[in-house]
Amino acid sequence: MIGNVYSLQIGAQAQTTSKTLMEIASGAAVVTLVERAQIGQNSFDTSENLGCKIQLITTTGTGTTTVPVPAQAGTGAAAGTQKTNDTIEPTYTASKVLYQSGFNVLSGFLWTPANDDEVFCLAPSALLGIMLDVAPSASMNFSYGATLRQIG
Amino acid sequence: MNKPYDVRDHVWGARLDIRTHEHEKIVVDHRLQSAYIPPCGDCRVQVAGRNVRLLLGTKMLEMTTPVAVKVGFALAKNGGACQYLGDVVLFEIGGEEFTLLPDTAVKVGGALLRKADKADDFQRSLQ
Repeated sequence: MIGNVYSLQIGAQAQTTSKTLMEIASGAAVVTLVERAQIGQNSFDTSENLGCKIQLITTTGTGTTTVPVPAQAGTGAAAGTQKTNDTIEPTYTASKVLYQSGFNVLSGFLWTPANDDEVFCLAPSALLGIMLDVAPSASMNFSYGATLRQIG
Repeated sequence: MNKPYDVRDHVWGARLDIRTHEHEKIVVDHRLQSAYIPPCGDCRVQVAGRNVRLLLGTKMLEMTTPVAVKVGFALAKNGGACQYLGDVVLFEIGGEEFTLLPDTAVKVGGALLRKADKADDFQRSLQ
């Protein structure tokens, strides 16, 4: 396995509006690959279509600093400051939407690369946001997360 | 205690400058172009058994996994280091220069890193 793999996960968090759920930050001296991103919902039993967007960020917003968990014991802490549940939205980079998709809240959203060429690679110090871009009709509990690989 | 191996040890600043066993030079760097140079868009990265291949224009570079990691890391790092309009990533193989747009360099760098991981898995499967 090249690099270190980390898991950034948040469980059952109430959301009422469209917002950035995760800001993935590449450390100043590492290259970060996003290996997986997922959003699930477990409190609302009616079918409803929401949207998810993955886009590069120019300026970071305000969120809760969350420490990714290494996949292997003994691995050092992940580089970069990962944020979740933003209260002030970041500034997204225009024309840098990497992925956008609707999903049913009953089945959730999952993204993994279709092949090795579809890779979300973050250069050192680069930022990427994973957001709910459609507001839920009522408060729903979302579990979401990402798997990251840091090399360097 | 010796410091553990780190790919950063081979990429000083953002510049990578290494030689192949045939003494061909491979350089990855970035610079501001004063004149427009068409970016090379014909890039492919593929796993070739235990090695990784980079097809760039008319050139093909087959790398061992440690070299692929260094080159991939350097491409992504240089792509990220391009901050101004006109900055491009320079990729030189054996004296022939290619220029890559920053986004392309980051993407190709990421693909090289992932393919290197695949090739590494293949090597381990043979052991």
